[in-house]
Amino acid sequence: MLEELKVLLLVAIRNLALHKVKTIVVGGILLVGSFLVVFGLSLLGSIENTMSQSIIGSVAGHLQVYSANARDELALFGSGFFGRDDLGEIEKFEDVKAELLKHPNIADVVPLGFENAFLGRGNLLDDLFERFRSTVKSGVEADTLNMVETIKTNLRTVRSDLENELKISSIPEDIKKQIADVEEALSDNFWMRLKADPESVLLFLESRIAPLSGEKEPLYLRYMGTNPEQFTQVFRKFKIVSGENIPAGERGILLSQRIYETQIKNIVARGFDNIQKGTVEQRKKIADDVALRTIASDLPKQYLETLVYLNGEQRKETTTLLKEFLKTDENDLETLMKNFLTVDDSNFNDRYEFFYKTIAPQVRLYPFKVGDTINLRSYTRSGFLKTVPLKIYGTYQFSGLESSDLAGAFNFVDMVSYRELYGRMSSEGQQELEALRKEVEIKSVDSGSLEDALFGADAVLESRASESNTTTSTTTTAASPVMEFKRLQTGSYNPSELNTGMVINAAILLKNPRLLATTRVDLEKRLADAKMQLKVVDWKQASGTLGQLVTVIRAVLLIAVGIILVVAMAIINNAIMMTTLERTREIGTLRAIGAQRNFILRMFFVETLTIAVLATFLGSVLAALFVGFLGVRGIASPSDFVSFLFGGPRLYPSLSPTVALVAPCVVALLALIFTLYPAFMASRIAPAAAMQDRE
Amino acid sequence: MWTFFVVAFRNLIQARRRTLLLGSAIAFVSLLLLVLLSISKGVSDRLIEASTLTSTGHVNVAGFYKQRSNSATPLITDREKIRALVQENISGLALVTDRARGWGRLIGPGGSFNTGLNGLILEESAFLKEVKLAEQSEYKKDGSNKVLGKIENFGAPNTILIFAAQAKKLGVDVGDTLTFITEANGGQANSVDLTVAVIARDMGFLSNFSVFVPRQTVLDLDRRGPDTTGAVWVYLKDISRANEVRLQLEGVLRKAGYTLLEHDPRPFFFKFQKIVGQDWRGLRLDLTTWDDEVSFINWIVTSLNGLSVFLVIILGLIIATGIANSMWMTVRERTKEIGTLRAIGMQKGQVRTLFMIEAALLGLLGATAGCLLGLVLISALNAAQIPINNSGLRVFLMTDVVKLALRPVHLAGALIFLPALTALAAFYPSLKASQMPPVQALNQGK
Repeated sequence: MLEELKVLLLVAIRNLALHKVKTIVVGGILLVGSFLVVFGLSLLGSIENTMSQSIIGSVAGHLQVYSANARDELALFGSGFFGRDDLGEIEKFEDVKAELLKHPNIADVVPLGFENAFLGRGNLLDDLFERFRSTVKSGVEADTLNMVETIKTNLRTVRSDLENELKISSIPEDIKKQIADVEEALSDNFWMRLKADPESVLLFLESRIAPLSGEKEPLYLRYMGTNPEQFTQVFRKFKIVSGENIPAGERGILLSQRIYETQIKNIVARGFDNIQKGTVEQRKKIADDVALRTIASDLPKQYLETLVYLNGEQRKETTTLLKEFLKTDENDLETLMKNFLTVDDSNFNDRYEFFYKTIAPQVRLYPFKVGDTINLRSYTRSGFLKTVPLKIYGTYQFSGLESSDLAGAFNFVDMVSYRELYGRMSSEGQQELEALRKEVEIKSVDSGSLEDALFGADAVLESRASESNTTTSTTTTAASPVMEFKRLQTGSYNPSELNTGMVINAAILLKNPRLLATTRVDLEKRLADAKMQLKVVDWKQASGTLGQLVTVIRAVLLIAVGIILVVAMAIINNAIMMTTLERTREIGTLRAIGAQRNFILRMFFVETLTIAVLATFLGSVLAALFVGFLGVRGIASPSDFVSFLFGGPRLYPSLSPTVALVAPCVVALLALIFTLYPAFMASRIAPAAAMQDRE
Repeated sequence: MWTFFVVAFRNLIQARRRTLLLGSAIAFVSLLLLVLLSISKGVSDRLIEASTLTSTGHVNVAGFYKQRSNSATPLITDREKIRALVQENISGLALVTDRARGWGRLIGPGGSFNTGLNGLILEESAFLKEVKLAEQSEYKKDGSNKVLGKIENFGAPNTILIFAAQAKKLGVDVGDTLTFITEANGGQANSVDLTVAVIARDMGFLSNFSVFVPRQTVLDLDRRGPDTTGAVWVYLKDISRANEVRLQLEGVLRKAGYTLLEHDPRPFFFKFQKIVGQDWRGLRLDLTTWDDEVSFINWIVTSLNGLSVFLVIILGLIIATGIANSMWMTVRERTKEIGTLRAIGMQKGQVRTLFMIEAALLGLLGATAGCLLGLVLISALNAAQIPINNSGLRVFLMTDVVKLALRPVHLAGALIFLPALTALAAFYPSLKASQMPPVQALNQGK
């Protein structure tokens, strides 16, 4: 037996040496095939690994629990809709947590709930009139007169704005009335009243004029309610960048540093940041790169954003500084700024530096800062629009995922505020509301001043479209009847409320993540036994479309590898067939001198096996070396989205030993299978064939 | 030359077994190539179909109207005039229409989400007849497999067409009422009640973000006058002319006195922030092509095409080595024959040509067979309407049944590429063969 194997091996080696081209071709194909399989699977495995860490370490945890009555599936990173998913409710989080913690593998359970909000940005006139009110109250005449001039300038702008509106409006009469209001506010008669009856002037300005200046486009924010302190402890990648975490018992919001920098920051500063990133980090040139060129050509058009917040003093100072920097005699600040913002590859670095050193401190780089209060507007589960003012306590990021929009998608609010935005009051609030409801004042607010009501810092306000006097048949109406009542809660609440009461979903952290699958099944059973209608899903399922994307990538990659292997095998089969044809005489001779069919079969198999084992393992070793090399050097992420999959700006792939061992064996086995037919054909060759001439 | 073909063909017939072997390998490969190409073409066709229905024309004359310096309304005035300018100056038009654009929250009994409103002009929306309607079971648990609404019901004032996934989310059926409420329009929140006239089948995730209503509904909601619209959508007979037409229109509109924004190849809703920051007021036009408006999902098609190219290259390499090997063996096997040919006076170059023609012929035969098989397979797959059950795949492939698109150019490509590849693979072996002295060749043959 052993003796025969030795002979077969010798024959195989001789044959391989004899048919060099065939050997090289078959070997080469097997090598490439095995290289691709090992490399592809290692890369895929590494991406799945880093991505799972990104998802688990940011908001998902290992498992997620939510109501079994949910109509939608939990999709933490978006379900493909811009709205609220129906995920049901976990009525009493404390009970669920207690039940879950009984399982020995559970490290912690974090309450969650998420939703989209939009942020009203207020309008300039509101600020102006507010300051005017206090100036008037202070009684310094010179200041008041000064401000009247500023107000008049602004009113002229509003008037021409309204004239623009008139051109596109279907309700010109209303707009004309608004213009008449502005005209009145511009008239001397109007200001004559200031002395005698300041309140009527102020009221007219605040209620009739302020709403006309309109609001900036809203900013959409995705927020997640949680227990902030617990969240920080459990999710280790979570880092506060500026400010502090939301303290227990306080209402507030933590903004994502990523959103703060890429969506909230002054657009001119963002332009500088993006060009800086492109030219310095990615070593691109403004002149060569379309995206950078677009940003650069947009920059001077945004000059107003740097000037709008400057007062007279600052304007003068900025003018001087810019004149000095640009070495020009130009005195007009607008022109100076436009010139300054016209950047190219040669002047960018200097201007970037000058902007941040000199201009930025004068400009409001962020419309709101840590410590400010913002009004978060959101739809309650029943479609009401609700506004809750929240203090910004700080900004945060996930370490390693700083540049990922996905990881930075959430802004965190305390669970109590979340419930309020969701349409649930805290227990204290409910009692207060009950008491207040008896004397609640329902009044209709003019639709124009809706925003005032919304933005009154002390008003919680709800309006529901379908309850307004909407007509179904003809046209539309303003959703106006508005219920307004005094703000119920102050900033604080009982900290225990963070962990009790209604939540939407909860993240479960495991002590031993390797037992994830069994723990999930255990938990589902446990919850069912406790008569809790909840379901438990793993992080991948909980991540929604994102998780599916990876499934799709995996499927596509496997199909690609499959196709390559099939073709490779077809070609190998073909090559062996061809050699068989060529070797008819040789095989015939072998048979004639007494070789059995079995021997011929085995001869072919050993031949394939020898080359296959050599080639596939060489391929695997090469792939391993390549992966190792990339593991040290890293693969740069081509986009911010991919950096989430990579778990950071670079992917350091690692080799899976199982893949490196099993893949070449599988490829070799496939090669053997595809040798079957040619080998069988060869074994059928009659000894007489040796005598005949070739085909 | 003809003789060469005849001889080559005879050679192939004579070595029937080898021809069959190698030919079937080539046929298989060409079949695979065709299927690959038609998958990636199928996906990009779906993308064009879904996007030109829900979010863009082939070329769009859109723009922004700034009432205030800090606003950015995606709206244009002079609707009639701009439409007339397009009609007069552009040839090869299939349709010119315009759609009013609205934005806000759609609220149903089961849930709510933000969506864009597509205000349609009914008389110019013949495509509606082609829209596939959803069976009740697609959006309702335990629903029947009947289609409830009729497309004719859509178009009455305050009717709405939504897509299956949206209906599921909102928890509504045909005939139910939805509320739409606008957002962020200078502090006004206007609302309207809309009756669900029809529920259409999903078209990937593009259809999640838009619903269809009559044009007047959008105008009423936003209080816009009759000569305003969101964008003029230009459909061409030949979509590949989109960029050329965009450039042509830029000239036409500039000449007509309009100010144009610099071309920015992104969808309009990515441009709000940048427009808000600019200091001009009034109207500026923004011309885009369909692929600008869907550039944020074009990566699906790009990566699929990239993958196809990668696969074709790897496969091409494998096939080329395989064929080269076979050719090599053929030549060696036929050394004697070559010696004979040379001995009776054939020139070196002629031998080489003969072998290469033989290889090309073999490639052509194999490729033809593969293409025929591919045609049959692809039509069979399309006819079978195989449903895609994985929701992730549905989203990324933008269809719910397997749809492959075969282009004549793919067939032609396969029929040229493969014979060229085989001929090329045969080059070195035939060079070697032709260089052998006839005497040696004759001797070696034994």
